[in-house]
Amino acid sequence: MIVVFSISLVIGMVIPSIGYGLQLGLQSYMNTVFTYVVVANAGGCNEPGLDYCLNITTSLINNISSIRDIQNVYPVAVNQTDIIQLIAFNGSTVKDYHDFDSVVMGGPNGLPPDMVTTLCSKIIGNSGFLLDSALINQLPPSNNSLYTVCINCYPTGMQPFNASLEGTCAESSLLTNVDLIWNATFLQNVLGGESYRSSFDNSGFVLVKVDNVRNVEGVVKTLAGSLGQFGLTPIYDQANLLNAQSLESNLALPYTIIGGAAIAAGGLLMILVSYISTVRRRWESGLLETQGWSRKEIFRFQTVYLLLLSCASFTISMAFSFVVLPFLSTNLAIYGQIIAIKPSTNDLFYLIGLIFSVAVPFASSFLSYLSAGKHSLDQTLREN
Amino acid sequence: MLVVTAGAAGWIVIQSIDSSAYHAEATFANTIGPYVVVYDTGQNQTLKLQCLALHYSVCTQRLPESVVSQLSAIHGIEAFYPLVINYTGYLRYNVTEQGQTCIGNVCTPTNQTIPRVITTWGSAVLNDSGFPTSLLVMTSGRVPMQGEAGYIISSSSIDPALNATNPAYLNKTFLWEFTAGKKVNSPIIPFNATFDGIFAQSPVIGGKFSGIEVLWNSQFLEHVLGSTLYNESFGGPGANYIIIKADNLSAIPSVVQQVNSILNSTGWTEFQPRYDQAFISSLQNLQSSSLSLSSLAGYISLASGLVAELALVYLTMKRRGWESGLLVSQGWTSGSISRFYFSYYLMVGVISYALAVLASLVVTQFYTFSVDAFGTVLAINATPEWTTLALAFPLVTCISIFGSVPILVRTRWRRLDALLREY
Repeated sequence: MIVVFSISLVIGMVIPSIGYGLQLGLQSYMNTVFTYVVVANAGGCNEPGLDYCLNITTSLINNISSIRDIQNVYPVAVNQTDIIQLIAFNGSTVKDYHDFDSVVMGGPNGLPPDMVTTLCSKIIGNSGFLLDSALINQLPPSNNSLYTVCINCYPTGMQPFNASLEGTCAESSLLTNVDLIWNATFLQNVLGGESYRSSFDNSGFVLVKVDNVRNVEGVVKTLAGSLGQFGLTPIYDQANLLNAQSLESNLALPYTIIGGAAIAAGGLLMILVSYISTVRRRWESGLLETQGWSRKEIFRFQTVYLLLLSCASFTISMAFSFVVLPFLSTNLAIYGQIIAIKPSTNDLFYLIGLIFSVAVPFASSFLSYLSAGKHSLDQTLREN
Repeated sequence: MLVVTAGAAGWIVIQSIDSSAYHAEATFANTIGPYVVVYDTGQNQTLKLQCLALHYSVCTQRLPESVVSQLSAIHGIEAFYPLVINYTGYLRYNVTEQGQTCIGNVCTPTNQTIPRVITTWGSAVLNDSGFPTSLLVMTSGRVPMQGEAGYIISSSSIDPALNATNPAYLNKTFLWEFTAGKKVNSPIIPFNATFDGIFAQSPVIGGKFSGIEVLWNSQFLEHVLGSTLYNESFGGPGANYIIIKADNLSAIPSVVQQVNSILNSTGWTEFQPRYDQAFISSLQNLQSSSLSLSSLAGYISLASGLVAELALVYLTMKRRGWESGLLVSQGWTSGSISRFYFSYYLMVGVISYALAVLASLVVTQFYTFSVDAFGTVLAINATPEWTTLALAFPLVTCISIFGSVPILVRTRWRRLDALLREY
């Protein structure tokens, strides 16, 4: 009976925890994926060769940071990287420049390293760059992926240096029009502090992380209202945010039903087993009655006995869920954050288990008590 | 019988709902995720600078019909929407703007009046061969009706002239003058149009330089522009913006590869397939992680049901050992006793299975929900799968083996008086 009780309680506690965990996992996923807003210029500033305008000033970034419900603000500096290809032309060698919009990872105006790690095939080392995977065909031929490059060649005439292609990055709406990513430390070493600062000082866009998916629309509205006059627009995947909100709200029902069905099944199983056990052992109460026990004493005895069994079962099932559930976890790495998809125990499930553990013995004993009142002593004893 | 029925029905219902929840996630992911858009990404710097200098014909160059046709025949595509994006302009006269006049380092604010200002937006039409309404997610207002002089704008548009989020502009009639995609010698076709609503920005409406900001009713535009100009601007052969829906998330890399191959072989390298690879990857990760946990709920309910069934049969059987002794005393052989118990428990199992299937079919009938994805309503229900129902049958009827084999063993191994004494 302890086995059946324990199983019933495990059904009633573990399965709802899994449903609840799936629901929380989906919420965490949404709070990670759909809470980024890119603030960039709407176009028209016509920076030579760049898809971004470099006019997001520190005061604008401070304005953005002060908006309610924003968790993090990442201003990102953009500049142009040219990969130089030497081409033989009419007996002489000419330079062909392949332009890429580049950003840095790390540093004050760089992308968060965790995000780059998640989006790209590897972490950037100290000698090269990562490229948008869609642009890999646009690289000129190279010797062992080693290229001659320069940053901001035209206006400043910076000296070219050698760098290698270290990996590729997934296309992402967060990095729209970003072609190439450098390691900030590497570029500082190559360019020197002053040149680096002058090249990556002005932000081309700002990544805004909103704290919660429900606050995204509000933050976007505030951003649009306060930054529109500066030509800046918040860009985000609004359609899929709305789609995902629909999914989340509608999936809450099946997960709740799974939990409810499991609790109901567990409870029903406990009640049925207790009932069968009580019905088939009615003669025991008759035997006790022949020894002079009153019906109330028999009721108390049976209740205590079943309570002991169910409390032991509750303890076993609690221990089972505490030991087993932590192993049932999978992790997702999204945009530099780890989302754990795991069963989430809720105090409510334990409370329901405890209520069942207490209520079922009382109910069974009470049924037995009522049943004993309907039968004479010899009938009760004859049931053996 | 009640316990077995409850156990089997519980497992079938939990398994079905769990499976439906997982399938809802998968269907959702395959509805919103597998979109690839092909457009001129502005990689050609010379063309891009010309485009920024408002030489519209450069920005709106089309892939020829032959290339579009090849792209539409790619393997692994569920839907293919070739579009033509062109520019519509809002012409204003004598616009006063604040500027500044500088003498040396000293600047003073001045107002200047500009005689003619054209503000332009990337536009497309809404019809069967234009932007599909199934991909529209309206955040406010409504889609213009057939022939109506209305337009809707993307929520990402912040152009002051289109600032429909500003209440002062709502439902205001603008005077439009159409530039027909050419800066020089463009015909000016003036017409009035009314703002009807805002649609959600999304990756399928494009990027910063090739995106759709305004959607028009096609009948209306054809009416005001005339067929020739309309076809030259928004219709006719070829496309400069293509939305491709792959069969599912995992088909995307293959589709992208095929698109690249066609564009490279035909020399249209300015056009590129673009999709949110990171988002697709995150959706796939979510699906696989949810699947493992979802399956676990099914396995736990199945295992729990089986163990409960075993324990119950044991409880029942333990207290009925004397019955087989009674049958032996009446001259039954152990073979006939085991056949009798096997049939008895089989009957219990089959009836329980029938009741469980009936109960789960009834219960799951009441369970249905829907998810909105790109305006499509995905109806999700939890009708038990055939595999679940088929698997439940051997699991429930194995009660006959659980019940009869131990009785046979006890009957063979214990003496008759010991069996009868159990009564």
